[in-house]
Amino acid sequence: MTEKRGPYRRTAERRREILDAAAAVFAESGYRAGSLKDIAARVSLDPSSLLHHFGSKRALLEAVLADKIDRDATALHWDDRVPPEQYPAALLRLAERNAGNPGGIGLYSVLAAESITTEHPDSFRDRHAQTREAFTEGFAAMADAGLLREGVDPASAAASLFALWDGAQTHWLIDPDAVDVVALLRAHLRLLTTVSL
Amino acid sequence: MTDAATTVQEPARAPGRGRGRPRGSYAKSEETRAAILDAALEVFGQGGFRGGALRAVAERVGMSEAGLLHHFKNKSALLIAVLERRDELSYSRVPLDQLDGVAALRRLVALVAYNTTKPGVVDLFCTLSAEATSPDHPAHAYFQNRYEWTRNSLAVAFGKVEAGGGLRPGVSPAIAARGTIAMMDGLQVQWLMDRSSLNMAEELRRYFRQISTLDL
Repeated sequence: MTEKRGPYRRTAERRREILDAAAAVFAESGYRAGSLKDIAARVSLDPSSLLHHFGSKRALLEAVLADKIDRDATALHWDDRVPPEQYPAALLRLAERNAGNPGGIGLYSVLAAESITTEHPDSFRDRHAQTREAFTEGFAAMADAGLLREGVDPASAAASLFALWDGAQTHWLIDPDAVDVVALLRAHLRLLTTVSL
Repeated sequence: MTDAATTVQEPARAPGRGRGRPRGSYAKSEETRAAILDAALEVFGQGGFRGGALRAVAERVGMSEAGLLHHFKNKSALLIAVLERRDELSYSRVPLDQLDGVAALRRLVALVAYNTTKPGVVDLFCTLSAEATSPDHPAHAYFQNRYEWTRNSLAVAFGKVEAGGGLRPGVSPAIAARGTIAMMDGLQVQWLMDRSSLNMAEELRRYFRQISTLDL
């Protein structure tokens, strides 16, 4: 490490710590009730230096969400062009990864519920819509490759997969022994596609 | 479901069943509670449960907000009681554990269509269920019991479908029951975020056609 890299590295580490703390606080308390003060306290900063790194609470939420998506993508070697025949398996890997990270799902669940109301920043709602669009594209590519079952429409497949996933995760968070999210998704993907899973 | 069956194992109770008949002043206060809950379902259904909704409920039953809360331990307890009352009403529309398989699924689709006329109540359900994922939330036990009861009743309904040869290969009653719950809850979140983006009842019907060969 050269001296020049030093301060930058420290900043990057700081950002990393803040993002982890913010994700934990938002998951526990939600976005509205989760306070900058709590987040700052977890990383031994005062709220104003926290804002120095992220500008605003809303920008911090954006960064937390973007970070989660980036890390999922990296972990899964995901890019926009997962081949259609591998798409269902890639979705299941994502679900498996989530199953090992209840905190992340808790964050997701609480933000989803909050974003129903108009007073909430629309960043989460936008991401929700983007995710559904991405699913639709994935299924459309499968349809082009002849991998969807007869009568399955890509947009509807996306909505149903998303709904099932969402609902199963909430159910799992409330009663972890009662639901196997990955098994449910696998069963559903088998009904939608002809790919063997 | 007999009383003996419910007392031996204490399974999750069918919504609204098994309560004794209240008498005297207790009956009076039960009546008031019921009136409050029905008023809340009306008000929440139209305008949502946030903001000044509780005051509107209080006005409707001719009470102050404090007087209204006096009948419940706190606001959370009131909100949970509203969902319990809604479960009772839903149960009278769809007695899941008593219907044959096809009727159960058809009536569930109709129930979802009915729910779309009460967005504020759907919002209350989704918001509380997300918050209740943390074990110390007051509604955690309510949702656990509700999930258990619904899971078991749906598994019975899908068991009947399976016995008639109506489930697709690879779909078990257990998977179908859990999938149906997940689908219904997840569709609600999507619908609340953007009501024009999907038709919940149609998507549920489509799901039932994917997991079963029934004519729905």
